[in-house]
Amino acid sequence: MSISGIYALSEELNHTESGLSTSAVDIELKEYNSNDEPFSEDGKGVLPGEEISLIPRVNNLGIDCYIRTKITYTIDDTLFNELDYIEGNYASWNKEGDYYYYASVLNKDESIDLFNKLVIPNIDAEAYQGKLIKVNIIVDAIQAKNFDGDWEGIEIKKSINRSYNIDYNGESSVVYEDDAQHHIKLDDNYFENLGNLLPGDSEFENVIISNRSKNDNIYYLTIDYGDLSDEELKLLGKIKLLIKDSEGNTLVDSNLKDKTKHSLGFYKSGKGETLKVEVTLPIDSDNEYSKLLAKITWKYSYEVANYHDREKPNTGDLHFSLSIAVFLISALGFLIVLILAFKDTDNIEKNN
Amino acid sequence: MKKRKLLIAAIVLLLILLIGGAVAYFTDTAEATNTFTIGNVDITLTEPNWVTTDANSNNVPDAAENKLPGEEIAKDPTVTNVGENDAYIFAKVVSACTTDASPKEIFTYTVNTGWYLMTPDNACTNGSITRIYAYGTNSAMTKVAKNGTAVLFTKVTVNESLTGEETGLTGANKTVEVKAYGVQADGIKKDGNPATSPADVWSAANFS
Repeated sequence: MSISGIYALSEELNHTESGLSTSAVDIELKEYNSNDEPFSEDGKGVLPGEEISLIPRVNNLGIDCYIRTKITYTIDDTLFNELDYIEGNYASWNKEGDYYYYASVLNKDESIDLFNKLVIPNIDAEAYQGKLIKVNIIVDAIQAKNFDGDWEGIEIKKSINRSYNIDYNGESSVVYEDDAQHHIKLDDNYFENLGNLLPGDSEFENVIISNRSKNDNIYYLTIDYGDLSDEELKLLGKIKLLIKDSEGNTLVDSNLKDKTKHSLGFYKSGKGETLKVEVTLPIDSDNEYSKLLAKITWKYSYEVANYHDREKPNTGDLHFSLSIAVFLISALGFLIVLILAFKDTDNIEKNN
Repeated sequence: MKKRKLLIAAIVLLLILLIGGAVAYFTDTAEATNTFTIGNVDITLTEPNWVTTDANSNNVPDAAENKLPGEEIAKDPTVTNVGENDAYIFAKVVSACTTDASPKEIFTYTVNTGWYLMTPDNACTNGSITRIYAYGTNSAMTKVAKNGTAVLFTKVTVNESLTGEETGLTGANKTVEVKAYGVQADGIKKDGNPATSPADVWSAANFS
């Protein structure tokens, strides 16, 4: 359904600027001896059964996370699965497969020692005399929030090397409701909580539209921003924007990069609606989207609807994701082909 | 039937694709590698001042021939750690005795400071006496570092109390035989605990 003869009496009602950022998982691994001094015995000659005071310490420099560790050793480049001769915390963690999992969350600014000493395996010293024994310690960390506990299939990547503000909470927005000229009410803290977003995070705000004018109006939301880097633009493109009315109908299904003037609907004079605006950083966002900060402007406007068709106009926004539709149609087509193929083969077997 | 199973499998796979979704999360990883060299324990036993010149080729060093009670012979068993790692050292001395009813040691020697006699109750038996010394004290071994040495004694003396009438003085040459033992100082354990006393280390090393 389209609107014809709309007069563009567009007024910007109010706009608020919001700052949003993404957080990061950031750990460091440092090694100490029993005197809490940096471990300095690399290269030392060791013998079977010898105990070495080695304390690997994980420091959490980023957000709350879960960690796991794997410790292996090689002798003369031959890999051995596991160094059993270790004493310390690590030994009491949950072991699954090759990894030991720390059951609790390692909170921001916390540290934990993996173990306090290791013992050289009882190998044949004479046979391996002069050879190198390398003890390799790997620690993986994953965001604690929104994590479902299943490490399987997760690609653990090194944290992006860029600076960021882990304490950034998002900039507060200005919300006001004024006279009849102001038809949109926002919460006082409208989207001031978009700081340190993590994959899986969703934030909601209600937007109340009240057409207090004598005209029938169409209301709009436009996301605007200035010059942003490619990474920041990519982040905005990744963050989903979903707006629904009180009946659950989707009015806008887009992202924060899209500068389209999104229609929030047509409202007759005296009518209104409470919309739910949802901003989501999808769960499939990897480190590429971490440690970023971007500022956007939420621009609300309206225009008087001078039209011939009194029905609610087609906003032009898709109510259904094209990508999901294509995927479902493809899946259905695949099923049909399989069924037909099965039937053909079945017929051939029966005939034979 | 086989085709039906394939179809079902394909449908299940498709459902998994529809229902499941990719997840990524923010992550980090850190790694550390510590490299050590596998060492060894190796010792030598020498006697730098033991003169081996044998002019008459009778297999007895000239300096040790025809000695009388009270006469001294330079003999300095010296254990050297020629391995890469610290070692604990032991020395076993088997010295000749007479074979009388009350046997006497034919040679006497004074062990240097730093050695501990582990077998004080041993006596002459069947023409010899065996003593085992640990480099350390009665409660703790002393580590000998790489290139370090431990000298057991510097001379032996023909027993002054010998009269010449004792049985077993004549015949075969009388000897003072020294054997050295070395074991890694770090990491040696007895019953799961670090071994540090001579008795524990000797046992843990399976020396005899």
